Amino acid sequence: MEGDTTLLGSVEGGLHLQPGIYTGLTLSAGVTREQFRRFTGLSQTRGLLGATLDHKFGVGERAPRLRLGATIERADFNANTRNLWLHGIRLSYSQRLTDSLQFTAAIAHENQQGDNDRLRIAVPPARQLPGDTWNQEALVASTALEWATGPSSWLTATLQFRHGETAASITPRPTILRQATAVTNDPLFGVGKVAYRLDANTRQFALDWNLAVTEEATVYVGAERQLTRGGISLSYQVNVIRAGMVFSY
Amino acid sequence: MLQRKVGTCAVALAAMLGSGAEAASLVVTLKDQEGAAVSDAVVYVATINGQQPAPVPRQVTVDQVDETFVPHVRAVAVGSSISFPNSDHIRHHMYSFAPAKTFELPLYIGLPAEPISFDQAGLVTLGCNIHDHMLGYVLVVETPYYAEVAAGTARLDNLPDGELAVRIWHPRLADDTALEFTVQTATSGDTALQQQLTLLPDRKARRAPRRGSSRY
Repeated sequence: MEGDTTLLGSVEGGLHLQPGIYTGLTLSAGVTREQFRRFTGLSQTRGLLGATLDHKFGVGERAPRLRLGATIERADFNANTRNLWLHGIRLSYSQRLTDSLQFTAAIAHENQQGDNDRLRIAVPPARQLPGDTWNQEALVASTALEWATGPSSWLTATLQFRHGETAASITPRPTILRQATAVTNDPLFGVGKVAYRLDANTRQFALDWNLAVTEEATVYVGAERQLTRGGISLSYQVNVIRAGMVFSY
Repeated sequence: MLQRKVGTCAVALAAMLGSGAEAASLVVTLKDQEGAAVSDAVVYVATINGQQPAPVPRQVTVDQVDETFVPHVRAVAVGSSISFPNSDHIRHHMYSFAPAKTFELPLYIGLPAEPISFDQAGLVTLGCNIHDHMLGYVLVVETPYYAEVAAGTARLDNLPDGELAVRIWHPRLADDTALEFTVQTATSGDTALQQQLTLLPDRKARRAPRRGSSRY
C-alpha cells in the first residue's frame, strides 16, 4: 500500500452563449497544476479546452437539462513518459427534484493517447507486449445526488462505474503480465517496476460536504473510494481524502 | 394570497412628537433575531378602520444587475405595471409561475418592449431560466399605503387617522406568511412601529460555485 499527499490548484475561464431560448453553449479553458509530495513524477500540469451544448426542457429551475460536452486535455507529467492527450465526450441529464435535491446521471467516453507509445521492453514469458500503456479507452457511467443540508451547505454523493482500460504499476509477475495488454518501464514507483495496462472495471464512490462561505466561494471536504478489478484475481483500491476551496468571479 | 397571523405579536407603539401636519405617518423599524437591520421587507396598510383603501397604480422598475434582481423585493399596488430592464451584458429569460401573475420574457438584453401589468394581489416570485440562482419577488397589494423596507426602516406618509391593520412581509419569514399588527395612528405626526422578525437563513448555496461543475 502506498500513500501520498498532493496540492492542486486550478484556474478555469469560459464564455457562455445562448443561441436559443432553451439552448446554451459554453466554451471553457483551464489550467491545473497538481503537485505530489512523495511520488513527484506524478506531478503534472494539465491544460483543458472544452465545449458544452446545454438544452433545458422548459422553464423554471425544475426543468430537466441535457448537456453534451467534449473536452481535449493535455497532461504533462514530471515523469514525462506518462505525458498524454485525453479526449472526452459526455452526455448528462440533470434535474432538480425538490428544493433541496438535485439529480444527475451521465455517460462518458474517454480516450487517451500517450506520447511514448513506441517504447517496448522485453518481458517474460515469451510474449511481446506493446509499450503503449498510456493509450487507453473507457466508458464511464455516473450518477450524482446533491442534497442541500442547510441554507449554505450541501452534500454531494457520486457513484461511478468505469469499464475499460486502466494502468497499474507493479514488479513484473507472469500471472499479471499474462493478462496485460501493454507494458512499459515505470521507475517512478521503484527500480524494476513496470506499468501495465489491462481491461478492468472500476467502481468509485465519493461523498463531499460543501459549505458556501459567500456567494462566490465554497469550501469542501470529501472522501472517495475506488475499487478496480480486472482479469483473474487482480484488484486494487484507491482511497482519497480531499479538502479545498472554489472561487467564482 | 398571503396568509396572515392576526394580533399574535406584540406591538411596540409609541406616539412621537407631533409635527403639526394633519395627516399621520407610520415609521416602521425592523430588526432580525440577531438585532441586525432588516432589508427587503414590505410593510403595508391592509385596512383602515376595517375598510380596504383603493389602491393607486404606479409604474416602477425591477432591474437585473450582476445576475441579481434589483431590488430583490418590489412592492406595488394592484393595477401597477413593472418594467424589467436587463442591465447585464448577458441575456436573461425572466419568468413567473405565480397564480397572481404568470408571465415570461424570453431571452433579452436592455429594455423589453412592454412593461408587465399586475392586476391581482399576491406574491409573484421571479426567476431566470438561464441563471437558476436568480430569485426576486414582487408583492402586489390592494392598498395605496405600502413601502419597501431598506436598512431596517420604512415610512408611510399621508395616512388617515384611525385603526390600521399593518402587515409586514419578508421572503425569509416562515411559510411566506405576512405578520399583521393593529396600530392606532396619532391624530397627527409620526407613529412608530418597532418589530423583531424571525427570519430563515439566507440561502447562499443557490449561487455558490460547485467543485467541478463547469467540467465539460
